[in-house]
Amino acid sequence: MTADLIAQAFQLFLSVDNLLAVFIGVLIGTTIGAIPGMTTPMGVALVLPFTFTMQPVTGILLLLGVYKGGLYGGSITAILIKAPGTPAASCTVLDGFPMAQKGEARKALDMALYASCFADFVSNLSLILFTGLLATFALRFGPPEFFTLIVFSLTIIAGVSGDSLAKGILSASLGLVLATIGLDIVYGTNRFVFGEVELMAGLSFIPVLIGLFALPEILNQFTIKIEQRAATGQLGALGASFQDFKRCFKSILRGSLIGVVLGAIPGIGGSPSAFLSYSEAKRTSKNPDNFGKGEVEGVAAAEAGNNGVAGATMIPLLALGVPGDVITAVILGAFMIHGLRPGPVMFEQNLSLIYAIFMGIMLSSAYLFVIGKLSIRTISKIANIPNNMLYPAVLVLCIYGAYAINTNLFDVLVMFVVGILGFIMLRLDIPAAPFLIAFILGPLLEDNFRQALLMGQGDASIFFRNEICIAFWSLTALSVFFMIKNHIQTKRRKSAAGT
Amino acid sequence: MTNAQRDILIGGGALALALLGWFVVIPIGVDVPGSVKIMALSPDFWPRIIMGMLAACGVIVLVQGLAARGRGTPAADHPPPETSDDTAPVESDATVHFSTAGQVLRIVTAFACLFAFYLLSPVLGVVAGCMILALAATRVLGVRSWAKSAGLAVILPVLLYFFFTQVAHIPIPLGVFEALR
Repeated sequence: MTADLIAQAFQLFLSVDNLLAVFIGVLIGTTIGAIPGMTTPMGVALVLPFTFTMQPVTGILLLLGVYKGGLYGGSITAILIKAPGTPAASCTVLDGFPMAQKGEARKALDMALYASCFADFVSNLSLILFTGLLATFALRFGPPEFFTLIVFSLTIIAGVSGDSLAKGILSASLGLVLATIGLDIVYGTNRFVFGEVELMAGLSFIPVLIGLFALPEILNQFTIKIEQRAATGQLGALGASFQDFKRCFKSILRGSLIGVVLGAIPGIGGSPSAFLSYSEAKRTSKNPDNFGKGEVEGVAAAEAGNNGVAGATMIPLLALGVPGDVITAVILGAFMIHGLRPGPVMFEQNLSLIYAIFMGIMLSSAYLFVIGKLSIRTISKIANIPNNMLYPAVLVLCIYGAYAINTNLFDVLVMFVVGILGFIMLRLDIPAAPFLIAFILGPLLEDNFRQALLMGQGDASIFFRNEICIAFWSLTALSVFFMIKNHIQTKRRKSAAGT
Repeated sequence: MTNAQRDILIGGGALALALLGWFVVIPIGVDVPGSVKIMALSPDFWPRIIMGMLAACGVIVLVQGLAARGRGTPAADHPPPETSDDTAPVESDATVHFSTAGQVLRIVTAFACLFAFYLLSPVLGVVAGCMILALAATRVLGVRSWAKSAGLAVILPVLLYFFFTQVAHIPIPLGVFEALR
């Protein structure tokens, strides 16, 4: 019976159309991911109309290819020009860009690719092996569980705050303030809208993201007199070696597993996973002080966490018909266009189709490696452009990217204002990463907090209602304990070194 | 500016911002309906928590700065900010800083150019606006060849225009040049 199913699946999968669809999908995704302002959901949405006339497996594999390519592609510009192509790639900036500045861009790009491919492969395997189990666990998540999970995720701010935790939390507070702009989710009243219609929907991620990471760097160039091309713009001759991969393997594996677990929970996505993986890598590293200054393990951990979600987000979609994020929601739409409804019924009636999709997903990991290797040689040539030509070009790219999100000039203004704020933070030595983490997780935190309180009719004991909540509170307490312990130890070490 | 002075500036600024937010911006900017029964569900609850957090961090950084100034030592164990934050650029030998006045003038000019772009875009369109901005930026950043500056300023916005309009089907406004579409 199983052999028959697998044979049918091979029959469904083994066609030139399918093999090409995965390849083209990964290629489109990598390119779109590498363009700041072009998001992976945007890429998937753009490709969707082309799948209407395709066979269901071909169309869905094309979309999955775009999704996977997009997750990796975001890291290319994050490393080379500090402009992450996707929100999830913003964690890769922390060590990837300093590596590029040290002339180790190729090494960072190589490691990002290896970590991405490995994490993607682990995520695909887990999709195939653990769909039922993880989907059942994810089903138990309600607003109180989400709230405790996000509180735990926010402890990663300590890991990206640099030497001053107070400044990190200060930066996060600014991000949280910006995240509150828009209509209130419970009462529908205005918050910090001040009569401006454009602000009612809140601030878009991408203009804030570009403004915070790319624009300050461009503005900073205006305070520097460039006599000749900066040596830090070189791609670098040496790539990542097997030794580098071996050294980072523990972080890559951990990041992949974090990605799998968080990816299987609807609504979490790649960003928290990348930051959590990065934070864990830093916490357990022998050289935590190197993180944020160009540590290759930081790039590996961030990319593993980011790409580890790729296969896992398909778990709730395929097993239960519940989309885990925007992209899987678009893919759910593609299933429905072809008359298919993911969920337990599809496992009974179209199991061979699911197996065929699994095969295509596994193939996409191999394609990702090939296309990634090629893209490092081609797309990464932008690292050889002189800074005084590169930065004006990035500025133009940022403007188009910010505008294209909602075809609205207001988003360009948001990018400029956040960029100026980011520049001031840069000059005052206030870390930008906590700002972004808080901006992304802030709305999730508040929404789940208020929804949980609504469920509990104002009773805060709902946040301790089951073992999942208690487990996350315990993890948060442990995390804070180790954070304080590390902080005290570092202070003592530094004062001992000073005397 | 010393580390202590910078921390005093950051701490004081954050505290002032938090107080302004709590007493002025939240009462004006957040509409609280009369039907709110549970305080934690009020639309202004979360913003007030954040302002409280901001104020607390502001006080901590301010106290650190004042203490460091009293001791005459750096406030934090990190290098001065001239080069950057945690993802800061490592400057090569090829770069030198302008004087403080020169830096301020150039950066204020850059800010002004960005806002001028935003204000003029509805008239000039995004493509022409980007051309002017890119040309200005390359010249200010020291590209000596007019051909290179003009080449980048013209080719890139036009290429991106065709990509977004023809491939991604995202309309890009052309302003007064709309007839060229």
